[in-house]
Amino acid sequence: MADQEREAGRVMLEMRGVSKQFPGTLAVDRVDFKVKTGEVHALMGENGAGKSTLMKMLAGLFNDYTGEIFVDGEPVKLTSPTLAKQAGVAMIYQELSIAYNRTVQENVFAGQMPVKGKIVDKHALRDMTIDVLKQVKLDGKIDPATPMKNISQHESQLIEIAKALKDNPKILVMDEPTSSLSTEEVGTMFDLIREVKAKGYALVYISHHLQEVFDIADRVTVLRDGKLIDTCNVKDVSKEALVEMMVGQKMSDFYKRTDKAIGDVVLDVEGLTHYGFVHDVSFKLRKGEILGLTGLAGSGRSELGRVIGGIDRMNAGKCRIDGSEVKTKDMCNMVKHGVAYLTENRKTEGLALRLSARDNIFSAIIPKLSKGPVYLPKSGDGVLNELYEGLNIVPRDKNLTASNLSGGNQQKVLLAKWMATKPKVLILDEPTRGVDVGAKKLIHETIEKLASEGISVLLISSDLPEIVSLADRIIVMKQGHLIGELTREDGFDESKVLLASNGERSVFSVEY
Amino acid sequence: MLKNINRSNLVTKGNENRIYIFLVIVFIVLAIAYPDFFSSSNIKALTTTCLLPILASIGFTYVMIGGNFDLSIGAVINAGSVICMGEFNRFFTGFGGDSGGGGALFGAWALAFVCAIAIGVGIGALNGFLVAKVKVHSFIVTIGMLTAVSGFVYTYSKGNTISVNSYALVDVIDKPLVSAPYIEMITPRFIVVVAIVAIFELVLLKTRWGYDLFMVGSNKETAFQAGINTEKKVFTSFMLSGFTAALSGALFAVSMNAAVPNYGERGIAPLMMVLASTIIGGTVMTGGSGSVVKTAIAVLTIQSIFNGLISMGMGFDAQVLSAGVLLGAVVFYESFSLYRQSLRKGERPALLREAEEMKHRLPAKT
Repeated sequence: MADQEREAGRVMLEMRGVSKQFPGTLAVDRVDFKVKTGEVHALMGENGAGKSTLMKMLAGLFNDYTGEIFVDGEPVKLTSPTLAKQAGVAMIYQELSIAYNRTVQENVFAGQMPVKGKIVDKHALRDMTIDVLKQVKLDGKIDPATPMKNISQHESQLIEIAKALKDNPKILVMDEPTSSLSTEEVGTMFDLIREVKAKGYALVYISHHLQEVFDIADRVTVLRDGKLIDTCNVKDVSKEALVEMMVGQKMSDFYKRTDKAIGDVVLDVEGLTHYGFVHDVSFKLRKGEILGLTGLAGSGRSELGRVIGGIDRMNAGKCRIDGSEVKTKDMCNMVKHGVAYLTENRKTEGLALRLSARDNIFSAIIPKLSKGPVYLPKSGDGVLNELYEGLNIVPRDKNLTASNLSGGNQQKVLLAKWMATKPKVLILDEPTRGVDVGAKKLIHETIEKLASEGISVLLISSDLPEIVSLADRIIVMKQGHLIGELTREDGFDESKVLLASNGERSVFSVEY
Repeated sequence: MLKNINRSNLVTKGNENRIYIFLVIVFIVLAIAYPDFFSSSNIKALTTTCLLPILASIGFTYVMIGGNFDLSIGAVINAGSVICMGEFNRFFTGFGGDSGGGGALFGAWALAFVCAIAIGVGIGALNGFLVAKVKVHSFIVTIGMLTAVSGFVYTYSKGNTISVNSYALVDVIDKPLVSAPYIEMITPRFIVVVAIVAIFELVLLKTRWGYDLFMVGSNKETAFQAGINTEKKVFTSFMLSGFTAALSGALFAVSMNAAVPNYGERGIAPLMMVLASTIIGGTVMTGGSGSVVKTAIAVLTIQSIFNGLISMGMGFDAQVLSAGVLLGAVVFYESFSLYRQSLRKGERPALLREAEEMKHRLPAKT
């Protein structure tokens, strides 16, 4: 590309009034978005704000978006990944697209092997790869012939960037590139991004991390509920103002909270460690309490839930229930001790989609419904009806295959499955992800009701209004550590929780 | 788990080349337990038994590298052999039989081979189409094809053994080039198989086509994004599998001078032999890694074990058992390491280091 095209400040990407309709929702609603050369443009918003949809649009994954897109002043139609690539858009996804059992050089030059006659020129491949790795300062550190599976996550991420830069794109889009990196590694990544920026690329940076946006971005665009809220210079806004833009009107007042009695400690976790994911976490959960657990993507919040639920291994630490220590070695044992973990992946881990709703709900209590070796599902009908009424699962036909239920009702069935085990401690991992508003309200009411009946709830959620309105107390994780706690007495709102997840220590009531 | 933070390259390398280690171990054990193992006649016998599965396993390895299975080869081998024999008889009679002379012989054999190979490639193309385009799982497609082709083979041969009366070709392809000890196993058939192994290995390891096939098997999405025509790669790999399977059957039938519709129904079926060798030889079951030569070495290793067991007076049962144990061990290891890998997805190295430090400072907690 000619030098004048890399000149800083030219509008490289312009999206004019773009919209994308999904069944039931307008995910992106007439958004205008401009990115200049030589700038890092952050795209922010809560879950479901439309960031990912906008990005997928750029990647060419939708062929039915409306509105106009211009790259370098030229109108383009980004209706397929190939067209997007040709237009000069390079994507770096959160989930890296790596061929793990091939080498670095084969990954970088996939589909573009240099050849001499018919034979792949390995020396050229090696030299070209070293050249590409130079851009991300990995030349000399990584041998191009190393298998990708022996490369660390951090370096894989850098290699992905190098791979994207190799095609000399005009626009580079990065989706949460730091979610699994440590603080130092983020530093290296930022140095690299600054360097790339100085070369005149137009960069789009999608992130939840406020601090990172202030560290790296020049301008920021905030989306909320699919709509453009504002685009401004980063140096002109404060963290608080940005949070305000993302969160919008305080939704917390919408929910009615009832004061309830909180009893003795039921679950007592001490020094819980799962190597590489969760480190030295201690907390107490009381009877009838809803304890919120939040943190950014990759903070280890789900992993903590999975360890207590008996799915992942606890390498060190203690877990006590009602004062006596239990082994978290398997899920069966934990269910016996009254701990139930509701997974965040409803379709892949939660439900047997081809079985009926009845079979799904009974699946965790088969021993209770059996006499000796004989399984008597009829004996559970009373419980089943009660759950169906309480959760208002529609349609009422209990023999309906789970895959035919709507997302909201599937989630209710999953909740019913664990409620049927009559747990003392209920761990809910993103209990309302991808469900409609009605089901969400009902699930929230159910959680409140369970707590008032004396069940202790550990509510793992990245949905700010949800956690703020339901939780009696919120604990926050960052990079695998528990970093602090927010209490109801000191008060918390969405902005405070968002700042806390970002590691802003001043907002904590109790700091760990 | 902590010990594995830096899984050394040596382990990876060792696992990749495990088949050479197996082979050396098997050779050493047999050399001690069975001194005649390395006699010229035994080596010739051993090599000859390897030729059919090695040839058939080449295409199978290609398909598995691309991330699929081709279970139809068991039937395609038989199809190749009965069609080669049957068509030879038909053409030879058509060309005037013995009165047609050398020209009739040559023409009939050539056409018979063309027919056998065409059937194999055709079946492979149908498999490939159903897997690549229609997106049916390869297991289902090729198991269905296995049954269908078996049925065809029985119909074609009417359930009988088809034999030929001419020994002209077998005299050529199974005649040692030099009748001296230790090189007497080098026959034209042996050379053909070795040459095909070499060509396919070179294509795999040296050409852009081979690199692209590896990428397709390793991560289809990445390959697609890189502009590789993934469907065409899968389709071609199935066609090549049909080609090598049919050719191996045809060559085997020629050297037996007869074809049966149910070869391998009693004893170790060629399909099982090929499947076991490909996996033991280091081809990853989910695709993206593997080698034709290593598969061939695995065939040699397993046949050597069989050879040793027979010489020790053990029967067919012991052969099946040993092959099963070896395959089971390898498959278990592969699955277990995949599982281990999945557990470590999203791990934070910084936390591992911290955990390590904590362990040094504190007495071990349980």
